[in-house]
Amino acid sequence: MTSVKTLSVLLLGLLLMVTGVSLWVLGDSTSVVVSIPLASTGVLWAPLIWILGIIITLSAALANTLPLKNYLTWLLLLVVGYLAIFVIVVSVTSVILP
Amino acid sequence: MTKLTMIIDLSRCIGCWTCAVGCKAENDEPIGIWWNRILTNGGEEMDTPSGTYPDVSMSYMPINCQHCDNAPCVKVCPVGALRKREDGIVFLDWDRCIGCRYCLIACPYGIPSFNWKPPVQFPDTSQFKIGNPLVPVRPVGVAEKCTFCFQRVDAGNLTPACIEVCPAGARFFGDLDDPTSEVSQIIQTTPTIRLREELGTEPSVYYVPPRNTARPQEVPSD
Amino acid sequence: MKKGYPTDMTAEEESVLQPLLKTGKGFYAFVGVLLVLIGWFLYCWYTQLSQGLIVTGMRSIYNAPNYMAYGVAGGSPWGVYVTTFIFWIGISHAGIAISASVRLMNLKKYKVVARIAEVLTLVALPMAGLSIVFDVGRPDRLFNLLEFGRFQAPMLWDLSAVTTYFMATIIYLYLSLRGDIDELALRIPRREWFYKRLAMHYEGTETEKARHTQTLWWLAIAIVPIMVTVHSVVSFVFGLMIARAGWYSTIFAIYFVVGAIVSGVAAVYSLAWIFRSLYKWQSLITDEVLKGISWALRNVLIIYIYLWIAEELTTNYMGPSAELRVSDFLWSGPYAPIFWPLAIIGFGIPAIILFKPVFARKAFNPKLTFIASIILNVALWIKRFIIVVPSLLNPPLYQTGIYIPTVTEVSIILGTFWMAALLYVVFLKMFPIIELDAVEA
Repeated sequence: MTSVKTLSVLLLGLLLMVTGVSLWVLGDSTSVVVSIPLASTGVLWAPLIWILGIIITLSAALANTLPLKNYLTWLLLLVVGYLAIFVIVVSVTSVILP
Repeated sequence: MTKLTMIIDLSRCIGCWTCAVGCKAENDEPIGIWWNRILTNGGEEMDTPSGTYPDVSMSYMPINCQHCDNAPCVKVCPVGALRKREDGIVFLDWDRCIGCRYCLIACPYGIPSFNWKPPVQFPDTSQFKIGNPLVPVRPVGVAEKCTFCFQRVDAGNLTPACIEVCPAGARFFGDLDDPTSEVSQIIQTTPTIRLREELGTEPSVYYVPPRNTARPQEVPSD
Repeated sequence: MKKGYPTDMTAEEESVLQPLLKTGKGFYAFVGVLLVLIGWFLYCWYTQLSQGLIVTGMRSIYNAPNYMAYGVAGGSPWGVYVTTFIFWIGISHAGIAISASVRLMNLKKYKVVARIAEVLTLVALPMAGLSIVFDVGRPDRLFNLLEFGRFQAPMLWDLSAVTTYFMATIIYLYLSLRGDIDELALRIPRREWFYKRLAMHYEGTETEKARHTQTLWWLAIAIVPIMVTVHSVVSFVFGLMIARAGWYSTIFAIYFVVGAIVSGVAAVYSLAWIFRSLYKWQSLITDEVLKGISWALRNVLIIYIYLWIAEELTTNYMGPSAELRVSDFLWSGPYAPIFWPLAIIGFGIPAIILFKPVFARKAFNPKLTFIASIILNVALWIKRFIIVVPSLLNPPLYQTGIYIPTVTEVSIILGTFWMAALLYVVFLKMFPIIELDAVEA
């Protein structure tokens, strides 16, 4: 029942999740020397990769039931919608916050 | 390795708050925020003696960030704004802090302060700048706490503001990994305690317990 | 397209589609009131953003003695925002608890309320996220969570778990809704363009339906551990804090999860009863169905009360002084006027109502149980409040202050309720809140 499409989406999602966490673990240096301006901890945006991995893994359910083009539309909708929430909150509040 | 350590001699502390004020001036802390606070051992208000008259005594507990080796605040910060430096300072990055106040909650000593409102300095520092220019002013909505005066440490001066201004000579600061430093000498010769050791936070601030406390003199009855 | 597809509705279908077909004045009045209230909420949030969190009742844990602190004396750094966050996460546990049970255990009887529960989850999770946005001091730095987030931090676990749960729920809801959307294209011709596009080439063949059923089955299996994880990580924000007496407890994960299920099931009961009364769905959401939901509610409630008693006993038997201080703060201190009414009225009355059918052998009373479900959810909000705040007001040395939420603060969290209601009724008007094949069966 599960198609190649579904399995490849699942694998991609899981790969991204593992990548996100690994990048974080490899880059984490909570006791790094800090000088102003500041060094980062972990690899930047590793959590984003992890979250994208989660969304893609779950979207395998859609990959299994929708035609390819519609599946990609949904995936885009989910990812862009999720990030849009952050964008909206950040832009609205940065205008008002002193 | 540098292991910056602070020692506070509680039998010399007279509860004058000069260290707190010096800290406030050095780091340009706004109204309502104190990185360094002097608790009185008798009660909630300042200068409350402990015990019941006539067996009363007065003692103080200056408390600032303990810069723990196993800091709970560092562990829980969701964005890594709190980081432990190699020299031992637990640094709070004011540019990254999102103001979730989890560090206020995780700290067993209740140390971090929070900018609940846009900071207002007193006196008005647009006219008279009193803070060290190397310390940025923090915006509303971020946490802040003692930094062991990182700006002085980084410039090679191992004397934070509170150590410099204490009139009773109750505060000491230095590198514990350096056997010739003053703090190493004190640790080796004097019994010291740390706060809430049982929690395993491994603080870098040691207290020399009070050996003598102020007692009222007996009034001669003649 | 579909051969032999009926175009006239059965009476039952028409009943289910009432909200989509007819919109009365009551609805517009309700939405109007919601919009006004949301306007007030937005104004309060604007005030908070421009003036800082000082407009709330929250304060730092310790501060200088009062007279030196210019009005920012010690208090509680977290308050009703975090409480409401936990509350909404709790409500969100309805969706999958019921949907998964229905699907995985083949409880066809409860299919009628499955979608009510799923939409509740879909609406509750964003409200939970918003509650946190209101709480942080610098929401303009929200991207820092994605850029610099640390996996050792309980809040990142929260972000991951809630995101996962939300995405899983929206995908689940869409796939279970898809067949109905396709059917609606025929039923409501004036909206055909909308439903046709949303259905995304749904063909309605037997193989396609089977494929959907199988996919949803797997998704349901995946969502159940996600659900347990979500509220467990929320509990870990509190339960792992060695510094806070009253929070540091091994029982918190189960405690919170069970509390969430109580919240969620009670909320589903409330909504099911309201819709049943409003749309006259007594033949669809039968007394039997409501009885079953109240049966589940009763059983999780007793588990929750058991866990609560275990917590209280552990604290008070020979608790460390720090724990006893937090407990005394609730039992006989400033928050006693909240604690005792909560226990006796907030939990006692619903417990009596829910247990009466067991002992008195009386007929099950749906309306009374509805009242119990509402009281229970209010009580659970207050319960979470007394978990969050007293521990923060009682740090090691002494009680530092008091926490009283301000009007601004309360208006902001009420805003989440108004927005949730608005989102819910919008869904109600666009899609059937009862699965159409639950009716056709």
